[in-house]
Amino acid sequence: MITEYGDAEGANIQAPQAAGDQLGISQRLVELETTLNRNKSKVLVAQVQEAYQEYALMESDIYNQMATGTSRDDIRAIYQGKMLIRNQLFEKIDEFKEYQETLMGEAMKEATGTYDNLVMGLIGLVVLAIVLITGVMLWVIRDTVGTVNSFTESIKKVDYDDLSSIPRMDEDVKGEFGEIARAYNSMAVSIEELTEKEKKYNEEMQEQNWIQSNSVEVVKLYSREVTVSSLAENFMKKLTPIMDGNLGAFYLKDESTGKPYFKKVGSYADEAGRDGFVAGEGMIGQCVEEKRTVVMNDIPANYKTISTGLGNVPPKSIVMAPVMLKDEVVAVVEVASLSGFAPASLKLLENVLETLGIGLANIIGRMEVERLLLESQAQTEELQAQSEELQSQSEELQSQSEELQMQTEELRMMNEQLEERTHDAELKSEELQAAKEDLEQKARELEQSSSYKSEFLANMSHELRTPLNSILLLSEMLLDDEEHGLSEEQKEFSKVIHSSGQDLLNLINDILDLSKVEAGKLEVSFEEVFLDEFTERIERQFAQVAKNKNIDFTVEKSDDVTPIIYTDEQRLQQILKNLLSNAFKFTEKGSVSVKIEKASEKETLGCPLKGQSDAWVKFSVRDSGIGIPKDKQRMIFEAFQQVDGAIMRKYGGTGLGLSISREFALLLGGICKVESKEGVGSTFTVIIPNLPDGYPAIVDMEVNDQVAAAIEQTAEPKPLLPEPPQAEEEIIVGNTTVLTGKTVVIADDDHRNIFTLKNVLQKEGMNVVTADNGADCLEKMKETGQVDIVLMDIMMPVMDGYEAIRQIRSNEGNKELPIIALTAKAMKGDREKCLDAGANDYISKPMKLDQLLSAMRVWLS
Amino acid sequence: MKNEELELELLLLAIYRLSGYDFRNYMRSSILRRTTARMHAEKLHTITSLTEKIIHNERVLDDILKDFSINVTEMFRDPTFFKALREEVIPLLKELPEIRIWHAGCSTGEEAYSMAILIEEEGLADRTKIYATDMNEVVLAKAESGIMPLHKMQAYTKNYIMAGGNKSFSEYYEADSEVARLKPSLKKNIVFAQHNLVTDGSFNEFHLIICRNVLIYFNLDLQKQVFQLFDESLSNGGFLGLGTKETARPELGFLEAFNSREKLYRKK
Repeated sequence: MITEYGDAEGANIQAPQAAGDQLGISQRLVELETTLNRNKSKVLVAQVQEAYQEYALMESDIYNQMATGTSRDDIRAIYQGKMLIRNQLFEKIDEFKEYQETLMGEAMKEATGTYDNLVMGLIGLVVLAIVLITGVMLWVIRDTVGTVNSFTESIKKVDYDDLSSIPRMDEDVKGEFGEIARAYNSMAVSIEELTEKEKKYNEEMQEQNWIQSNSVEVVKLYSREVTVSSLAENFMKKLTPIMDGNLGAFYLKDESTGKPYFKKVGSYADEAGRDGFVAGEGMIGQCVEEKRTVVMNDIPANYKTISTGLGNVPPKSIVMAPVMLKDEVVAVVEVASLSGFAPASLKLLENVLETLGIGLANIIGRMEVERLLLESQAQTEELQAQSEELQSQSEELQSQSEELQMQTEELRMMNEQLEERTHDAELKSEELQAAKEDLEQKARELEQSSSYKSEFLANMSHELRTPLNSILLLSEMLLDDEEHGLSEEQKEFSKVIHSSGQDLLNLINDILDLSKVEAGKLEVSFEEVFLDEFTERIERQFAQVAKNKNIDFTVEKSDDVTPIIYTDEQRLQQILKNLLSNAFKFTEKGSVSVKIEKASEKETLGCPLKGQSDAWVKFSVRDSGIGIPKDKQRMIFEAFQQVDGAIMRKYGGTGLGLSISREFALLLGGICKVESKEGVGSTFTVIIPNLPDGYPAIVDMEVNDQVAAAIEQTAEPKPLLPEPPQAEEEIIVGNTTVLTGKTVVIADDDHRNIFTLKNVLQKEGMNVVTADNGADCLEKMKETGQVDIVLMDIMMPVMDGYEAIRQIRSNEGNKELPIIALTAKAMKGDREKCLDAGANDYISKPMKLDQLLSAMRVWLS
Repeated sequence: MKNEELELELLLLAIYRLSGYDFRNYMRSSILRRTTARMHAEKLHTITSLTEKIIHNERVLDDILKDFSINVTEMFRDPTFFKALREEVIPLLKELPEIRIWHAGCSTGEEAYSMAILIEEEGLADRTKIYATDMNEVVLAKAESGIMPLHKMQAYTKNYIMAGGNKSFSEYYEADSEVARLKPSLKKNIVFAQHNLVTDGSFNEFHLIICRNVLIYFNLDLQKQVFQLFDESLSNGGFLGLGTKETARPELGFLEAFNSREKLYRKK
């Protein structure tokens, strides 16, 4: 510190530190003074203190000088001035130090003496102690062995088989051994208690086991028995002896009668007990009411007795216990005993009754299930029977429906045939109509040609008659031979020429008449004819002929005939003249007669004017000539017909007479007919009406009648169900009627396909409309209107087949339109898609034309 | 009513004696209905007079035989049945070296041809023989011709499609304007023969017997008899297909249901 004071600043800084040091040193000096106990030391320290105080003053002075900025030299002067003080201080300190060191040497000597004395004392004490301890130990050992021996004796006396009483130890022993004895004794007490408890517990366990095993025995019954009565019976039989009971009864609640009634359903050694009771009735009823077990021990003497073979004994105890199920009494068990019930027995009873309710319920439930099962089995059988009945009914319905279907089928067949026949008839009728028209046309033509012919003939006759007249006149003149220039032979020739000419003229006249009639050119004038006069005229006319041929000739007029008849007299006369000429011609001998009478209504039946006149006159010309064979009788009225050629040659005549007569009769509204027998003669009859008003206008319906008759004839029903034609016959080659005239739309983007199909289908007579794609197809269908079938390709541009089919189907009018899809074979699922879209059928490409045509026929049929 | 029973009994006896066709165990209700219809058609008032007429007039006997044999059938009738055959039964028959199928009561053969189509599409045509039998020779002849009315073909096409056909139905027929003729190739697997379920016995062992809507015309006794015939005629594990309203009586025991909705049974 001093070496550094030259540094004024450093000293300056260290000043407070030096002040601190001064204080510390002073304090230590004071402390030192107080610790010193020797006077000399105290004096020495006081001297040091004094010296240090002087030094401390100087030090403070120096610090102060430094602080006031006194120069270094001044300070050094102060420091040098005080050098003496400082040295004094050092001397005092050394003196003090020396004194102290001598003091310490003295103390050291004194301490060593004390230590030696102490060691000697200690050795003496130890020897004494060893002697004492050995004595005490010998005494203690002898005492402890005695006590332990007595303890061992008492422990050995313990009987481990019976810990209920354990010998006690003597507790009067003092000290620890007394404690041990007391502890042992208290242990013995607890062991004895424990043993007692264990014994009690074992007994309880035994009782519990007994109860358990017996109740298990009894409870086993619950699951073994299937009916309540057998359970009740066996329950009592089992339980009563176990309980040391001698009498037992089991009452089961029966609610079937409304009020709960407990009915005896099982018993043990029971003979005459009650059959049942209601709740609240008697003790047992009370037991039900209160839902608790009742034990009776003091049984009155008159109570029901227990019978043995030798006599009757009253029971000592009776127990009545309710059987509970869900807080309700479902049964009651009563047991009586001669000996009374052990508590275990009662516990057992309680135990088995606890589950008896459930057991009972189980059995009742089981019985109910069984009953239901039986019932359901019966119902199942009934159902089965019913279902079979139903099934047979359904089968019958099915067969009825099949029959119906068959009948429908038959009906349809009939219908088809009828339709076909109607169609046929229609066709026939059409044909007939056409034929009729044809006929009418022909008739008209014929009529016309016939009238042409007749006209021609009439003209011709006229033209012929003119030259013929010349021939006749000239031949007659030649025959007269007024100049007599002719030879006989020449005269004869002239006669032949004349008569032949006459014949020719007659023929021509007849032809003319006939022609006129046929040409409708003959005019008829109806006027009154006086039949009397008429008859006379006829008679006169042929009287000569009859005479010449030597034949009887009579004319007879009956009285009922009207005297005047309106008709064409000239024609009538001509008819009769013809008939009489004929009669005379073919009669070689016998008679010819004319009869005039009133015609009966029946005789007028064949007349065209039947019913239109009130008076009909019949002229009959009868002869006994050669007669006419039956098969020729119709023929003779035909123009230019005689029975055979030979006759003509024999009898001459033109063969026109009868024709003309018939035609005239018709003109007069009558008829002319013949009855004849070969070799016997003939009767020609003319029936004519009296027509004062002339010929009535009648409808010419002849042709229509004929047509109608013809239709009737052809429409005669065929047998209803003709045998189905044989398969081979049904084959109709090349018939395309189903397709003909139908319109088909083909949608396909392949033009070669379209071209082929179009060709084929057109050959079948179909109208073919083609489209490039679905949209085009829809468009074309709209334009076409009536479409019968569509052939739809599937893969097409713009709109494919599926979409096109869907769109076609979306139109209400096209729901039934057959659409056949043409699908590419390779694509699986195509078919389903087509059908889903609404196609009726599909054909895989490449298609066979026959297959396509077949399918089209099916869908157009 | 009792008299009617007797009269019917006698009529059926007469028919049996005259023709050999035994309808005595047919369902009486159905027989009675058809007898009554025939009576009306012949303008008769009692069954006995009909009996008299059939004895003396062969035509009436033929007619009544025709009446009694109900020939209602379709191709792929009840399409789901044929679908089930195709999807469930045929796969089980595929392993067999030879398959024999019997259509008992085939009527006009529509179902037998349907089966022929099915077999062909399933690739079994070369080893399958279909025996199609019926008691009625007339319908059998019709069946053999393979000719179908054109107007029915539309419905058959629908049935074919619904039965799971995997080609175009039109591949199997040719049609003209009147009829459709099934392709003769279908016939080559079918044997048509006369067989009367009532009077004739078993004639082969089959892997599949189809007898649809035949049993409904039989009474229970006759049904049992026919089931016995089927038992004798079915191979072990063979199938029996009945009509939708028919059921194999459980008491027979030899059959178990295979697909009860489609009335397919299998011999145990």
